Amino acid sequence: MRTHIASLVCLAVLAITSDARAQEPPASLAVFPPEVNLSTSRSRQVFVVQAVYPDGITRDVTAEAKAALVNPAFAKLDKNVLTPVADGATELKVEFGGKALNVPVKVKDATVERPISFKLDVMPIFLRSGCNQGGCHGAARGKDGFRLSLFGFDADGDHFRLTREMNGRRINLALPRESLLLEKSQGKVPHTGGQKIKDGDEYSQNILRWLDAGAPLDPPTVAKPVALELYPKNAVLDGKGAAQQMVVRARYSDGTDRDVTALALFLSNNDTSAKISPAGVVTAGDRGEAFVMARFATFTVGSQVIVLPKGLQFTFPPVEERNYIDTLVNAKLKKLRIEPSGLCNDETFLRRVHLDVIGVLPTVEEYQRFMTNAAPNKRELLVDDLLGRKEFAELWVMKWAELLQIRSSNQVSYKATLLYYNWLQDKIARNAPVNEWVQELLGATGGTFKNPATNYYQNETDVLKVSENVAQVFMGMRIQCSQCHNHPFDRWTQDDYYSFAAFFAQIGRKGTDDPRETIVFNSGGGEVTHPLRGVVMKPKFLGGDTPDVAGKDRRVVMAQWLASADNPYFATNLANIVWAHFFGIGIIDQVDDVRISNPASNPELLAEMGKRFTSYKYDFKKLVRDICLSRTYQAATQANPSNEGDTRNFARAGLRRIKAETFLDCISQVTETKNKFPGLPQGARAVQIADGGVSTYFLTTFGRATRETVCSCEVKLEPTLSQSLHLLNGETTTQRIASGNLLGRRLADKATPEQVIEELYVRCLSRKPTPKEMSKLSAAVAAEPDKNKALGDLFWALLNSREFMFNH
Amino acid sequence: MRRIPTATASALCVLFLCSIAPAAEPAKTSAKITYDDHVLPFLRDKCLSCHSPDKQKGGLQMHTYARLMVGGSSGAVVTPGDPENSRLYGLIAHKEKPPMPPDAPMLPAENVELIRKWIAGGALENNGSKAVVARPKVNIGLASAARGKPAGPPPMPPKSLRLDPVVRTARPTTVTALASSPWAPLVAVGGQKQVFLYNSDTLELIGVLPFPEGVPQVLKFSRNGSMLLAGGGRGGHSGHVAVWSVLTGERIITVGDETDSVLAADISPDQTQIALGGPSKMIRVYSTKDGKLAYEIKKHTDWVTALEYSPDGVLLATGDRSSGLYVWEAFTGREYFALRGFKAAITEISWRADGNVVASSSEDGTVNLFEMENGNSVKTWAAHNGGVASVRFARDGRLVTGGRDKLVKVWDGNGAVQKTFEVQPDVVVRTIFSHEDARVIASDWNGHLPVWFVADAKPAGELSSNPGTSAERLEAALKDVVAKQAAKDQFAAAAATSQAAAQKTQTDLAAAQKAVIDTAAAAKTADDNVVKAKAAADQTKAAVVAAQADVRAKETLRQALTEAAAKVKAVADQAKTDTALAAALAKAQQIVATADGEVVAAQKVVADQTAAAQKADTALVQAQQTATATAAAAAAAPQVVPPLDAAAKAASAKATTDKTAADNATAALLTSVAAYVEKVKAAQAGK
Repeated sequence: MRTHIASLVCLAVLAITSDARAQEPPASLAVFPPEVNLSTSRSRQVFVVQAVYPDGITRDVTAEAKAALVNPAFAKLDKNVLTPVADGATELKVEFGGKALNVPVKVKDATVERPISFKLDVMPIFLRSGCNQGGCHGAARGKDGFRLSLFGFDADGDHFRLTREMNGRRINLALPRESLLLEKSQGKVPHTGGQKIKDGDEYSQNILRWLDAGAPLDPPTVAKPVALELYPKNAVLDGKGAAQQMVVRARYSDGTDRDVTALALFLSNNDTSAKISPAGVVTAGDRGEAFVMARFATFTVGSQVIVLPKGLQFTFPPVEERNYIDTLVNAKLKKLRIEPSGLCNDETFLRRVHLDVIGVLPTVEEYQRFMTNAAPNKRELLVDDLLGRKEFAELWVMKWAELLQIRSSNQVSYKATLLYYNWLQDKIARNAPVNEWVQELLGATGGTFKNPATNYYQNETDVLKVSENVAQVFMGMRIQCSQCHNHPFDRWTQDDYYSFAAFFAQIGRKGTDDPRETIVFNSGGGEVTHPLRGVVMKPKFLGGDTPDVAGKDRRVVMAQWLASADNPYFATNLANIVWAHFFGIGIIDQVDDVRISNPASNPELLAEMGKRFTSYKYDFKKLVRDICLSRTYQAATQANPSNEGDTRNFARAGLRRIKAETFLDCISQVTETKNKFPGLPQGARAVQIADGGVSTYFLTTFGRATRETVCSCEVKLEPTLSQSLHLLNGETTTQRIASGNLLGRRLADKATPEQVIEELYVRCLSRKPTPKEMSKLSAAVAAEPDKNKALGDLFWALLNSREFMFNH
Repeated sequence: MRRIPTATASALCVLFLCSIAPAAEPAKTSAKITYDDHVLPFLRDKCLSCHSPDKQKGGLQMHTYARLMVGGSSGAVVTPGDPENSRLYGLIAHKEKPPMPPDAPMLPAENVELIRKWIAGGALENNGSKAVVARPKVNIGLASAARGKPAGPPPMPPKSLRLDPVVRTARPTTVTALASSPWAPLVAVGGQKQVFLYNSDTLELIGVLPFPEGVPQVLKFSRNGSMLLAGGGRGGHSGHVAVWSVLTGERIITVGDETDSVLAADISPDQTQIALGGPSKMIRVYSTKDGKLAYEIKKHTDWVTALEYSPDGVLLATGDRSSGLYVWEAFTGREYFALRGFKAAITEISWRADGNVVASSSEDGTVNLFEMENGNSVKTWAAHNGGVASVRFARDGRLVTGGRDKLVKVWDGNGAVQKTFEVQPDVVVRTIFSHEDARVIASDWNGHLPVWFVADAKPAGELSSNPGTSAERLEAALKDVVAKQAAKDQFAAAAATSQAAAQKTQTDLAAAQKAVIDTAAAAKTADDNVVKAKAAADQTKAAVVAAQADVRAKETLRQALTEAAAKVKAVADQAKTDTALAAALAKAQQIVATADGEVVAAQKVVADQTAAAQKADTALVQAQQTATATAAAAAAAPQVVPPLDAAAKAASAKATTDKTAADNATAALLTSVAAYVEKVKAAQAGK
């Protein structure tokens, strides 16, 4: 009997604990949308109530909260849906857990029916139901004989295709219910895409209303959506299964807004953590972070959702914060309840910072000097020292050369390539402010020999491609999609695309006496026309103003805006590129894929870095210094239980394969062999190769950028079988060990095998062998009469080790 | 003209409504009779002892459905759907020899009936089976494809066709199916689940052919006008082709089992083949003899949108949605020509009457003519901006086209535009010539069907793709009668009014003209009077002067006499006693007195004459005034005449116009009444 009671008590206790959240009063309460506007009779607005608890957890309490209208004469409340009754203003009073909130409710034109609109009521159904996505009718050639514009970028064209392309087939005004459009989408007749909407649902009704009205096309005056809002902006969900309803509201050019939750398309960038249903309900899954998005018309907006294990108890440990980077990274980690890894040891730091900052391994002497240095700020001193070395500049020249596609080709002679490279090298070596040389580059005029910066416009001569490249390199935007249709996952429309391209429409090119040289100049003529509408597009900054370009070189106007603080993307994009170099992953990843649906993992950090970069007068050395000195950069690669699943929030250092050029340089360095590259003196480093067209088998195999595109994906770090085979059997390891004859010299100098083993370890891995390694290795070497061969095997093994191949 | 009293008309209408009210009773849905459930148990009892694998009498096995359908040594014993021609039924019903079962009385009637019903129901195997479409009983194939007008009266549908639409919708929709009989004033219009037949001369609905398969997308008359073909169906679901006999209005064949609506179809001129195509990209050709698929063509890479047999039936031209256009040998399906020249979807194909030229229209905005010697394009021209939706040849080689520019045009055989008809509210979808090429009928996106005269490009009326029920149309006709009556009354009243007005203006004119004459006469009289009065006045004035002279003379004489008398008195006074003197004095005094009297008399004459003169003057003034007045009147009177004259003419013209209008209204009323009566008759006939 007793045990029964005990277990009952137990159960009760369990019930209480699991229900504890419901009992506990929230720290604050929020209602979304923050104000309700109802206009026209069919208007409706769903609202959600979110409770925020002291520990940051949020909960959707819409169903439990008490809601009532202060004056029910104006609007009707049904559960969490408001509908208009009469014109006027009142308030919605929401109460939960001892907190109360009043939401203003305005009702306008309560008895006026808004005429059915093709663009506002019908088109969104196609997006929402997936009809016009790329795999279905949105494909360039349509599907099963019927095409819709991809994600609805061409509503007028879609209206034509629905009503008149195949006269008498897709719609039937006499018997609207028997229209093929409805019968197919309702699955009443066989439809490859299956049943998309149901007979009688809101979507079917809207389509029917449109057909009943005679399938009209909207008058040109019909309101356009101008903004989209997704609520709530943040959610921290407590354990698997926790749910949060999202609300989407569109704002229109006529000043009205509309609840488009039922018409928006919901997406999540991380379904395992937070899945979002077509109705907009986020359901928590595994621990993690997700960005849930709503897409409507040309807009995509997102909200951050963090999912934590149920009832997680977490206290953030005291972690040293050396600068703003640590503060902002830790702030995010606190939100995610993730503990950062510890600090890496000196040996690891030495190797890491050498590879990252100057692209070479520390020498034995440098190793000794650093390890024996007792100064408490020796890491800072090391960073400052490295930033002053010429290899630093060379490494970044290579990085920029990839982005600027410095490469000889049919258009660009080898001489021009070299001049172009030298021009860039000069800028970086002198640490010229990035904004200045970017402006110089993009506004460049003159001969490709006399002003090598003009080669930028010689590499790529297509107006549209040049605009795409500029956007991708300097703003991190891939706007290519919008050439043919509005960008499906970003804000860019075809209008934006062609308006931006208009800056590059007046580039003139002419030959000179030297067939290898071209003169790039402002021709002052030439326009870009919109392919769909056929109108001439005025130059407009991407996401910015329409400047006055009359009588000016459009490129100069564009460059002055682009590389300035007026352009919100420039500084952050460069900061992100720098960041990605040191962490192997950008704050936005990929660095050249900035878009709304690919949000920054730490927007505050990115914004702060952009701000600092601007305030440093675009001196990126200072930015590098900030990064290298931060604790975040110096964290160990070893994971702890809380951060082992995390890859995006810099809670620990990542393992990064060394880039092809640096890797070859490292091998040359440790084996003391020399390289010969075309056009460079014997012993030059791979990083110094000016021409992207020049490569070696090794560099190609290890993924050197061909510089044929501006994509960050040009540099390949993925492992391949040929890489392994090349290192195992290729000339780069065995032959270099032999030809460098390091071991022969050492043995000739009467060095003991142990000394050689230790040197090899320090050379390759920047650390001494562990006693266990040493004992095993010395035994193995001792067992082999040919010491050179035995040590050669060890050298080979080290070069093939993952520890050597990776920066850790 | 006599009016039909409204009351009578509405009574007629009511009568009619009552009579059509009871609709056909829906057929009772009986449970399927199947081999497995009903027939096999019966066969087991009565037949299997001989007709099973063990004995196989007559080579016939009946123990499985498949075996039974194979039949025996004398062939099939079951023809699904046709018990009379099924040997099984014939034998057990003792209609054929040898009677079965052998050496036994006829099976119970209900068993025989069961077999009959089973066969009639399609000889189904089990509950899941579907009845095979009944094959046509009549062979409609002709010995050869006759050219030119067939002998005898051109085929028109019977009067008994239903006139009630199968479906009546709130609004019309795009009509893609439109065809005209080549020889009769007969036009077929695709509706919803039905085909409407119109008389292209009177524009009256003369029949409704149900097409329950869905929406007809294409309509074609056979070359001799005796058959009407409809292809269509339910989009994304099913497609069929139906053929009706025009003369009887009966459906004779249904072929095709497409999974999407049929978009193009035609029946060969010899009526042995039916070709169809649609979103399946296949051309399927069926034989009308047995309704079976003759062959398929897989060449098209996109939806088949148009096809037509050549007038001799030897070739078949087909077109698709991605500009593919082919000509095939109709009997074999072998490729004859691949015609090139289009950049976008083919919308329609039409053969010239001589069979030597194929016209084709395309969404690229052009019409292309191909000769059939080598398959080359002989003429191409831009016909409609945005796309040509339709092209049809007239018998004389002209063409009619319509397209996305909302226009309908008639061209000569060389592509020169002859007529452009009024612009339509929306894109034109189909265009056809009527049977004598005298009229053009078009259909637009809204489902309007305007009809024009080709000769002057003037509108001839409109057809409806969504006509009312016969009751509605009867009521509409009646309403029309009533409206026409009202109009006629109104016009008649107006005519009467204007007639009266004309008469009044005539009278006024006559009066005015008389006034002119009268006033002229009066003026003349007045003038005469003036002259007379003047003469009188002058005369009296002269008399006054004479009288005054007389007075003066008399006074002078009296003076003299008085003086003489005074002298005599003086003398006498001196010689008082002188009687002679006294006598002379007395005499002298008498003479003086007389002279006095004469003076007085003369003075009186003067006074009289003066008064007379004054009177004459007054009379003169009056006469002059009268003369002035009458002269003014005489001058004014003619001025009134011209406006009155004009008014009279106008009134007269109006009266004439109104009379004409009234006559027209009367005629219209008569027509309307005739139409109404016709409809009533048709309604009675169609019952």
